[in-house]
Order: sequence, then structure tokens, then C-alpha cells
Amino acid sequence: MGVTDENGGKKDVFRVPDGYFDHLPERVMGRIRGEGAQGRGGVVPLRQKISRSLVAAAAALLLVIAGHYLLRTESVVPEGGTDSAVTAYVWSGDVDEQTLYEFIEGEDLLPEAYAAGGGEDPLIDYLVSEGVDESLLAELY
Amino acid sequence: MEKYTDKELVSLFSDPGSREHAFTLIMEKYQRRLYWHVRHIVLSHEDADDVLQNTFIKVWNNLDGFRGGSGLFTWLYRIATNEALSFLKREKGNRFLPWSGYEKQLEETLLSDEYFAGDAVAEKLQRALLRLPEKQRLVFNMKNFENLKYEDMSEILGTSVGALKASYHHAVRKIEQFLSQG
Repeated sequence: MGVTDENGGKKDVFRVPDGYFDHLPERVMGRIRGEGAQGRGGVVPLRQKISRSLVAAAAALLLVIAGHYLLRTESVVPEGGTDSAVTAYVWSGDVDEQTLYEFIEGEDLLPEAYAAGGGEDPLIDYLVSEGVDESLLAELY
Repeated sequence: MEKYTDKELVSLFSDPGSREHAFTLIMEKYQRRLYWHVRHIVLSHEDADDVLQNTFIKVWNNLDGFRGGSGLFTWLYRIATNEALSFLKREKGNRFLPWSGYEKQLEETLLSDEYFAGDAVAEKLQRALLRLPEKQRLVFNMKNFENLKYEDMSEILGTSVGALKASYHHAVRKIEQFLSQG
């Protein structure tokens, strides 16, 4: 593959593949259209590695939201590690939005919500980016 | 290439009928500058490509909320900077390495990247840059490689011009010391 030496500033030691900038806009638009077809156009990292605890937390969160409708017992905020806390939440039943948010934030599962000029809810962004079905999030709005 | 001002592009974007066309024009206008900014942070082309795509998607999702308080380019630059730094933070976290360990890994990434074509001197400069604190490396890159003015950097990074000048000065001193070590 050929490389070109393109730089907006001084001559640089980094190279970029031939034609990269010619095709980048259409690649980005392709992703946007693809995400638009799925629903909300959230940010989806291409190569982000997801730790086991994040995957477990996202799956458990789905169960918690479903459990909101099925179980009506006292909710308890457990101490201990992420897995036991998530498990307890799954079976505890009625969990309000603020408690959920604080739990995720406290477990350091919420990615940095950096200002980008918009006013999107960082929790919703995170959940959507982890693939949570939007219909399950309706109660959080 | 069509020539529009940033204000015109944002206005075109706000119209659903011309949104995609406007956004393509924005990407064509700023992709190179944003790419090189990101590339100097994350070093490898593949990572820069990922981060830049995510940056533009973030822009697409939030441009409706852009109120023009800062210039469009400054706003784009800020998003790209945050995306790149967040990427590094995630990568470091995924490796469970102390920062010095991850800096070593970045060095290896740089040297093994097929799109790095520096000679021995350039390689040493990049290694020196990797030993700087993150903010200093950022400031050095923006001043030295991207020719940004301190006032623009101040808006992008949310740091005073005085602090940026001090940061650049310290960065240059440290690089000089490293390069003189042989």
C-alpha cells in the first residue's frame, strides 16, 4: 500500500495511506447512516476493549430495568465488589433512576462525559453505546 | 471543492434537506487538521482513524447544539482532543499498566507502525515527547507541529495563555535534555 506525506503543518515523520482522506467522509457517513437505521446515533467506538465487569454490568442493568416491573421488594445498596453489587441489584427489585446513576458512577463504570456543545445525558449515552435497547430506557427519560 | 464559511455550513446542517451534504463539506474542510492533531496524540494511524471517526460522529450528534460561542474549528478541535485523550486513558486502563509502562507501550506502537517513517533523530524526538507529561506533549505538538497560536490553544484546552507558554517552555527544555543525553 502506498503512503503519502500529508500534513497541515511542518513536514512530519508520520505517513497516511494513499487516498485515506478521499474516502474518510463517505466511511463516516456510512457509519452515521447505519447507526441512524438502528435508532439513536450514539458514539460507538470501533476498537474499544470492554472489560468483563463492564459487560456484566451492562447485562445486569438490563435485568434490573426488567426487574423494576416484576419485583416489588425493598432495594438494598450492597457493599462489596462490582459483581456482587450488580447481582444484588438484579434481584433487589425497585431501583430509582438516581440510585442507578450513583451506582454506575460509584463503580467507575461511567465513561467520562465530556462537553461537546450538546446537552445529552451521559448515562443514556453510555447505555446506548453499550447496546441497550432504547425501548428499555423509556422509563429513564 | 465548494467554499462556505463555518456559519454557512452550520446553517446548512440545521436544514434536514442539506444536512448530509453540509456535514460532508465540514469533514472535507477539517479532516486533515483534525487527523494530524489526533495522530500526534495516539501515534498509530489505525488508532487515529478510529478516534477521528468517533470524533466526527460525536460532531454529527451534537452540531445542532453548537451555539457559536467559540469558532467551529475550536469546537471540533476540542472534541477531537477529548476523544484522543479518552482513547489513551481507556487503552491504558485496559492494560492495567502504570503510566510509565503504557508510555513504553506507546513507544513500541510508534516504532512498529508501518506509517512511521522517521529517521533516528525523529525517532528520538518522538521518544522524548512520550516522556513528557500528557499536557506538555499536547502543547508541544499543537505549537510545533500544528502551528496553533497560544490564544487558540487556550480556547481548545481551557488553559490560560501564560500557563501554555510555561508548559511549552518546560517541554522544550526537557526535550533538549533528553536529546543531549545521546
